[in-house]
Amino acid sequence: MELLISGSGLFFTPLAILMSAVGCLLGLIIGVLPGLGPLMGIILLLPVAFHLPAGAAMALLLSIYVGGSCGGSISAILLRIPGTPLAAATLLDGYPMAQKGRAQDAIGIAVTSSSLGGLIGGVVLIFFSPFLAEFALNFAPPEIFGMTLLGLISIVVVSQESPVKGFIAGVFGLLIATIGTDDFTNAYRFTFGAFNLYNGFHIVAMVVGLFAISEVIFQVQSGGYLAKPIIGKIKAPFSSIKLISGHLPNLFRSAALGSFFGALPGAGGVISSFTSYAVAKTRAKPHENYGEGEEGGVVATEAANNACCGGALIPTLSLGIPGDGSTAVLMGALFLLGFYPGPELFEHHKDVAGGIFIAFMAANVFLLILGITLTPLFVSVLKFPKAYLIPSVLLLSIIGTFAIQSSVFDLWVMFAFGIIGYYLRRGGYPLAPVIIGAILGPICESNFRRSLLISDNGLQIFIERPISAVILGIVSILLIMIMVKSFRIFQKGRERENTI
Amino acid sequence: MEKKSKSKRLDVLLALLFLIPVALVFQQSATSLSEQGAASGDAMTNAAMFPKMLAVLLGVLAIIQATSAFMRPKTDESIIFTTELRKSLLLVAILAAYLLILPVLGYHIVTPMLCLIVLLLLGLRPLVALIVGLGMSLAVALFFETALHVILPVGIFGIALPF
Repeated sequence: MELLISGSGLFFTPLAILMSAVGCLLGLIIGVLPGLGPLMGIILLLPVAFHLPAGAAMALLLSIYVGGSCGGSISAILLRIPGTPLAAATLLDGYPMAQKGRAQDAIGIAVTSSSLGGLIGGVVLIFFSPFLAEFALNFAPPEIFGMTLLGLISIVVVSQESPVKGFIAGVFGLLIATIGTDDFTNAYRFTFGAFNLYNGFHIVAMVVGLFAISEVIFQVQSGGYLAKPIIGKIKAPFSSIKLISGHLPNLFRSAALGSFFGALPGAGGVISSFTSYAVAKTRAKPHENYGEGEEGGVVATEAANNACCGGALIPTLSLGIPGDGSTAVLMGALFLLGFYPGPELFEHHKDVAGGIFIAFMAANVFLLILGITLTPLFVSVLKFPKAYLIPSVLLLSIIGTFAIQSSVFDLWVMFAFGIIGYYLRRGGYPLAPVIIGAILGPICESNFRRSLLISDNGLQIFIERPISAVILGIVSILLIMIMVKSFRIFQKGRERENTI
Repeated sequence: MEKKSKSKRLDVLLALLFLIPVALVFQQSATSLSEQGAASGDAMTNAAMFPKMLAVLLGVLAIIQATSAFMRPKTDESIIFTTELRKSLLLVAILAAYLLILPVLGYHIVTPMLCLIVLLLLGLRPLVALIVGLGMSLAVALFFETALHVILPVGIFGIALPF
């Protein structure tokens, strides 16, 4: 409660409230567009956020995160194309509902479930983060080092592609973070005499390059620049909110599952929405036909999706361990705004932590209002040809990156990481571990070196301390899982080769 | 969305490319960091320790990945130069040229040209591309220069919005 009272001063300003509404609207629009998603929305608006006061900046970015996580459901329902991977499970029942002439109901249910699921996720966030942060206050450098490893390796374990590739991407990110001036010795590392590199690569230039520029290249390669889907006029009525009343147990259960999976680094929205869908299906009444346009299917997936956002913010804010790409960029934004997620945020910047909580809840309220009233706008956005979208993303990426430090060098960094991102994606390397590695890198290194400095027995300090030993034990188990998963993937490939 | 890589050659090549940063870490540790007196000693004075650990790990992982990719069945390595692939290569070249010229000629000359060329590349009619390109460029400039007070590159002609 104390946190919320402290945060109210930061959030309840006309600018922050306006940014919350604007962010939600932009998030919904970006989420609707296939290929883009909440992460891309946060990245494109990140440079704008840095020109705003802290409260308004976080309100903008969080609202994009919330709106973007829901927007993808609209294209999933209408076109059977999920705007974001998060909405992949929504099309299982959303699209059949639209085929039966109930598109407006499906959208109404999706938006309402997302909003209510998000609010439940927000309550979980508000309740659990301070406890976790308080526990983490006992953490010394060995434990913090262990947590950064745990955060990174969790992402790798759930990499859809080969875990070895996820691991490589994460270590590559950590290595990139070592470029620049060393905090301990003030030595210049890997700068090759270039003064532009004394502070390393700017995280925004890296993120925009890796995600936005590589996406632009992929979009150009996929063609269909002037294609427009044919969709009739659709307006979701507020009465569709009432439809939720018949699915309240499903809503609460799915939101709880979403919050839980969100809080596990790496698990994320896709796993939570498919799991919630599966659970809802197994608990269905005899007359409910999941997969054929059942309202409960949309409720389960969308409530889980947005509740997952609240869950994902728990380890991000209280431990400084981001759960996915979006929370990693949000964490990077907090760094650049001068706030360090982790126990200190709850100790020394109560207003910021509280402001984030309120901004998250407000974003979910705006989601309900804007998502229902502006459905016709989002439907018309779907008709927007790619030919206009690609240069818009390109231009915003370029000018946004330049605006951070008025630096053309940052633009070249963006360009280079765009090419790297493109080839990494083509090779099946996940990009999120690169960013998480780059963000966690300085924390990981400084705490590793501090641990060694306070240790009497060198590396033994990591296993002498109980919490650190437990964390590193979990890390070891995850590493074994990575090895087993990699070996299985390799064996499968060999078996396929033998059958050919 | 991108298709999953089917190319064995690309898979092996990408894994081996990760050995470049590994080599750079050791080269820099032996030269620049040594010269600065920051490549040896304890955790306080050894700035090369952590990057070297990461480099070793990255090297091992890259070799594992390259080996497992190499042992995969052969794939069709022919590159089909579709119009879209050519366009994406052209886009990268245009972007590089834009970044080279931007500091010289400034935002208000080069950016409308970039938008126009990209829109034409994506199949818009010249007149529509011209209007949309100019509109996009101006709208972004207006937002960043007036609302966020960002000074966009003015170039040798010193061109900026008059308000």
